[in-house]
Amino acid sequence: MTVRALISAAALCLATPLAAQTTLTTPDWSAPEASRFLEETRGRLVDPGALGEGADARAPARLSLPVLGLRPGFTEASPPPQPGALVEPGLDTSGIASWPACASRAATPAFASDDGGEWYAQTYDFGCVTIVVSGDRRTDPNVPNALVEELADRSGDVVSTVDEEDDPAAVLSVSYDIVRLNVPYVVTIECAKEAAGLCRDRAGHQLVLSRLVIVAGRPRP
Amino acid sequence: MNRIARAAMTAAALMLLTGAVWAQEAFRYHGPGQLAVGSGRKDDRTVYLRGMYFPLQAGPQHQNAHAYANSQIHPVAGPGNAVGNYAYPWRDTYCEKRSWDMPLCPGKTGHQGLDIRPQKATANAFPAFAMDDGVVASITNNTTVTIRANAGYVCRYLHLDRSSITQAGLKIGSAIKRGDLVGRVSNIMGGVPNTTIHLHFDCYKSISGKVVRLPIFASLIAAYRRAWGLDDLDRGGQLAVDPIREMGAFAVASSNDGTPVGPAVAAAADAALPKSLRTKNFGAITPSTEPAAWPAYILKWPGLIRSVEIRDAFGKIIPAFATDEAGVGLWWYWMVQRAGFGASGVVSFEKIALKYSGASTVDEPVVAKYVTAYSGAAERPGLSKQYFGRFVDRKESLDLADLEIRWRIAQTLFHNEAGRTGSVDRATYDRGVALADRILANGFEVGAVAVAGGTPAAGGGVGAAAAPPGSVTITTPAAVGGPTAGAAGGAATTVGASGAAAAVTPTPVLTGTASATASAGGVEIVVGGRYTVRVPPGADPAMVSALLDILDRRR
Repeated sequence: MTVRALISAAALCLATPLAAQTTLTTPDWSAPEASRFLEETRGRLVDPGALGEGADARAPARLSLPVLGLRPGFTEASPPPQPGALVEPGLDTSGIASWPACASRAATPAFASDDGGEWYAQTYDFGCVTIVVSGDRRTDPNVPNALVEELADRSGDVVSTVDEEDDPAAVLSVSYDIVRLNVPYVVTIECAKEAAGLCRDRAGHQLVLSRLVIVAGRPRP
Repeated sequence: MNRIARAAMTAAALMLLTGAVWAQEAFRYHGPGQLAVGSGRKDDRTVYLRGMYFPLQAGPQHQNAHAYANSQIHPVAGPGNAVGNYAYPWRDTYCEKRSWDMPLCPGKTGHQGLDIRPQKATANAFPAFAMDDGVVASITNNTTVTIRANAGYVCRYLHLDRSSITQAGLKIGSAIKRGDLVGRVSNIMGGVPNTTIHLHFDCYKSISGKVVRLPIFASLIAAYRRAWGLDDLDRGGQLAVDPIREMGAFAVASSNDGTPVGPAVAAAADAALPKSLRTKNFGAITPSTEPAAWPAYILKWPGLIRSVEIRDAFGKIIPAFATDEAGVGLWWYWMVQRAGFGASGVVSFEKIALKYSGASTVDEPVVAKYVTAYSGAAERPGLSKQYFGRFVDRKESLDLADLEIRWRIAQTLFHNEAGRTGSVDRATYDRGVALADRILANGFEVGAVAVAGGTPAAGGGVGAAAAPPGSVTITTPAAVGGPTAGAAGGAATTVGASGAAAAVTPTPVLTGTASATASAGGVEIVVGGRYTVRVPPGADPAMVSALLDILDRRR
């Protein structure tokens, strides 16, 4: 045998290897908002334009998770717009006091997804604000030993920031790790320096999160 | 970890003493979770992203470029892009103090990623590379590039140069291959130059249906090691300990008196390091003679490496040492004994400068050079201000009995010799001082670790009969000559005793340049046909490390 064999032998003796296999979460399509979306899109697919630039014609049929995105005119108080009557993607910024004047309200997202339609990301460019929404059905069912305890009591949304100075006022990027409809999503808000107020405004972030709407996707085994 | 596993890991660690490791430059790192300030994740050495490509230019495939993972808020060499911040050792910054959520951190808040500086503080010069095959998930106006690996995890690259992303040909939704250019490292934050030249790199994946911001320092170490052609130490998803490069990996017994000292580091070959760091002679205690005529205390000093010949500005060889603690200890011994200050004496920077310069009076110009560096003047303070937090007059009395004052003096002097901060951390310094104190109290021949001449087993194998049960034993065959002076027939070294080794029938698990035999009685390792190490079940890693240390010195 070789030196590498010894190392391999050592590896066998050490901690449990991480399994590489992943599984797919099952979206809760029976939730009211998901049911409503499915009812409204019964028998037809949304236009690829609903997903954004870069979405190919087959993307709407391929996506097997609720694609959360931003649409103007939708607030908690009003139902989401008819998927078949899509207006230009954007964000209803009413009530978001920190929404900066330098930002536009409409933004056609740039779209990315995997071939299996289990993951997507939409990047909304509002100018001095960028919002990225992504969702992923693929998950690792094997919780590493080191994380068992921490993940056992995890609940609620988690917000993290890129802050290189330990200065909350210097935060120019925030990410929310959320679970909706039994699918984990990440919503990232990035701010140019002149839009920094938005990145510090947790209440404003909650309004953004509340205005996510299902724009595509369909159940698939 | 079971006993055999521990022994096997030790075997693997021992391999590191051979081959390419010694030929590489001095990559050093603190272990995962060891933050500069505050608490990181303890005992989590999980390599969450196995096989990941190192996200920055590094290693022989990239012009031998280096990269430096360390803190933005606790820089070792002053704020911003100071040259000294672009240096080893690496520090984990996951969980470093931040205000917002990070559920995996001890305080439930903290930094979710790692900050990695490129080789130099030059914007738009050093490329970043895709960590895996995947899809470009997003590119933002803040120049954040996000890649979703086909394996299901996601990583973000922040602070890149805007034009470099375009030049790399990246488009949202396009496929990207492992090692493809992502952009070049810059200082963009909030869309404008607004931070230091570094890459903020963080990764997450969905685990059990939840997004988890991963502690990736161990993954990054493994990736960097691969980039340099080193064993990545990924052992079944856990980062094994490298007793050579990981700082403070084990408490190693000194061959002098049992004082714990840190692992030896092969830094001497790194010409980019200051000489005082290359030699670990942080106080630059340098005799005026050639080594044959060096004072006895230097020749006897634990960990002295005679094979390293690095000369100072006057052409004198600077004694070099295998461990940081040995270098610190020599300095403290010199202060107490040779300079005559005593361990509880009262000094001033002027008095220290007088001794350092070798001058007869403080009026000689050579003294002024040191005094200016240490104290300076009120309107232009010297280095001591950085450590005392105020101007320290050249004649101000400084009490060596005060451990904090003593530490500040050491930092000032070490900084002057190295030309930068961060020669050693406080814990290492304390151990080095303790080593010197033991020698000052007990002399050079007292020790818990005895290196003794003896009769080796037939053929030079394992079996030093005098070894206590359960001890870790190393023997050297007579054919290649024992390293211990006067041990004509070979030598055996025995360290401590821990439990009883069972008599079992050995089972070969490896042969070759390095070989090992594992059994219920432990593991026996032969390195290079020269050294044989018996590691019994339940062996204390510190004992094993002591042997590694001894091997290191005898190479």
